[in-house]
Amino acid sequence: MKQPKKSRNPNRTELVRIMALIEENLDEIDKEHEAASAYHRSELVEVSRDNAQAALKEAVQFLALEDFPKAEREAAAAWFYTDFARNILDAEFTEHHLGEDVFLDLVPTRESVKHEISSLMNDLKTELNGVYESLAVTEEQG
Amino acid sequence: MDFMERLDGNREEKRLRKRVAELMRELADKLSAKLALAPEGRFANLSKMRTAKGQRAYIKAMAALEQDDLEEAMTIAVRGLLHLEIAHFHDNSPGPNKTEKLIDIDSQPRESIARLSEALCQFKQLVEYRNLDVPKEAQERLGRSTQYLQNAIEAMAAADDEEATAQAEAGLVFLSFTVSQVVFDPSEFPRALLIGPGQSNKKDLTRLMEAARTTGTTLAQAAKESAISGWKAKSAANKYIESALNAFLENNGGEVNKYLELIGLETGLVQRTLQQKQTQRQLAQPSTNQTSRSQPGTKAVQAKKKEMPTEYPSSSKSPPAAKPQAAARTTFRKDFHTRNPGNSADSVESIIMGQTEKIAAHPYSTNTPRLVDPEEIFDRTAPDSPLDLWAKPRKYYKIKEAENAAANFTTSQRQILQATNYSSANKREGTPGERAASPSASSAEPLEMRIERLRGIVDRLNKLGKHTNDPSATASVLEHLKQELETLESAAESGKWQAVERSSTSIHKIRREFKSLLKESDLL
Repeated sequence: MKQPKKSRNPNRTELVRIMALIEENLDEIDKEHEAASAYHRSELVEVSRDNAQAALKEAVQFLALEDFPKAEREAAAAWFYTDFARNILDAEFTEHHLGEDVFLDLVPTRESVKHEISSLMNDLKTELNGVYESLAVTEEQG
Repeated sequence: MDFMERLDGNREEKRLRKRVAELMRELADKLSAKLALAPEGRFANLSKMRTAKGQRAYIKAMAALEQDDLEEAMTIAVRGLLHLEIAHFHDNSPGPNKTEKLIDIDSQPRESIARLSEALCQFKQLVEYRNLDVPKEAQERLGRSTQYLQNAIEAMAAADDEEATAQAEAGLVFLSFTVSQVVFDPSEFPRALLIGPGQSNKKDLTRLMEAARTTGTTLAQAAKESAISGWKAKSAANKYIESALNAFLENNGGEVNKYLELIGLETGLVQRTLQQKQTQRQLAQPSTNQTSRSQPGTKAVQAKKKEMPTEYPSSSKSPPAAKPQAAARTTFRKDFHTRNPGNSADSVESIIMGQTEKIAAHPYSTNTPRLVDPEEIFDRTAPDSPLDLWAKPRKYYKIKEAENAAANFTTSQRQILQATNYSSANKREGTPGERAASPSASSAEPLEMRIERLRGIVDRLNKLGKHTNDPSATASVLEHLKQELETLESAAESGKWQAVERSSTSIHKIRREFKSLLKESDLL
């Protein structure tokens, strides 16, 4: 069934409903994320959830000031973040149940960054030592 | 102030005081009624949380009233009532419907944001389900596409619709190019990236996405077959895609057309070369059964052998479908494989780099969570205007740091390319450590080669430096490192060996300094 078209200028009651439902969605995402951390803790879900919560908070502030257009935009931002987090969780749930728990992180994880930095620092050291060696050889060759 | 003005002022204050008193009474009544009943239901925790916020608002409003700050008291009281209203909704809520789109997305830029978000998730699902191998370079570009999504959402929230649309569409083009490097079978391309009806009004975007996709696939295939190694067509195609995307972002339709034609010509050349190669191979090995060959690089063939479902599950709670059996596979493609990472780097990184750098300097450009606590902003004791800060992006403080860092990070396309090449060079030749240990590596290796590799390492570290706790300090240390490397290079070129040694020692010291910064950020 086709969903009724949403208005870009919802009234106060509709905005309260939207915000409350986004908050409920986020609460469910939080619980599912906790459960999912047994097989994969997605940093992107955490960032999206935090961003959604921040946007929602701002939406509430604007609504209290009766600035409906800004409140609606913030609520929309919160919804986009929430929807993104939900879709990532769903994809990972599917992979966990039907696949082999091989997950693709859409953004580099802190652990992978840490690993790469460590490797680059070692490479830097090796290459610098190599410069000394090359210099010694150059000196030997006159 | 004359008598009449004073009288008006007194009346206004009286009116305001009366209104605040009414609001405070209403808040107190609703709060006591709410606190008398323990919240129940599925979202009792949320109801409790909102009630606590309402309670805090009441206390703050009372404090403001004591200070005769009537406007502040009124604002806080209204907010407190709103918290209680949301708490009331949670008490009676049946819960959200996961498929319901709560907001209007039938317009730009929201349509593009929704599409990019969907495409990213579809690609993730495809890669995970198929167990595809995503090369490191492709993963980085994927991260950038995800960043475009956040930038677009933030721009949309800040009412900058034009910027939001541009960011989301740039993300779509970038993602199309990235996906085409990983997914060879057009039928398995994420649906959200395919051009559907209703997008005919976006002719340039459509053509650009198609061009990015075709070029990406062609270049990936050519790289795999080593058909265009060292060929200038590769860099030319990259350059034209980049220029086309820049023209698109500048809304210059004429330029977009020009570059799309050039892309078509270059891609056509590569495709013809590939066809020739295939014909030659077929002539050389006429008995080879092409369709039965397995692809050694395909994890899907080696490990999982799954079949893609015709529809993606929309909910994690839906009962999992039976895992497809190998025997039942009908649509599985044996030629479905991934790109050789060793050959991929230089054909991809530069493509949208110009526009990426442009966007990297954009104030919304950071993938860190929003950091400014709006509660703090609104709770300031004497704000001039609570909304003044909204003239700036919400992540203002964090963004300033990122901007400073970005200014230092900005490197030329050539340098970034080298950094990427370094990674792929490592893949091809092993890490410097491995190379040193290998029989071919020797201390007599030309100094220029070492310097080139050092430059690659420093550029790569520059890109990763934004992950430290203090990006500005990191950028400054890395800039120092870069300068010292340039000194070393020019000393080596002019044969001043003592200066080379001095620079190397200096780089060692900077490295130690950088190491301590990394340790402080728990990155080492």
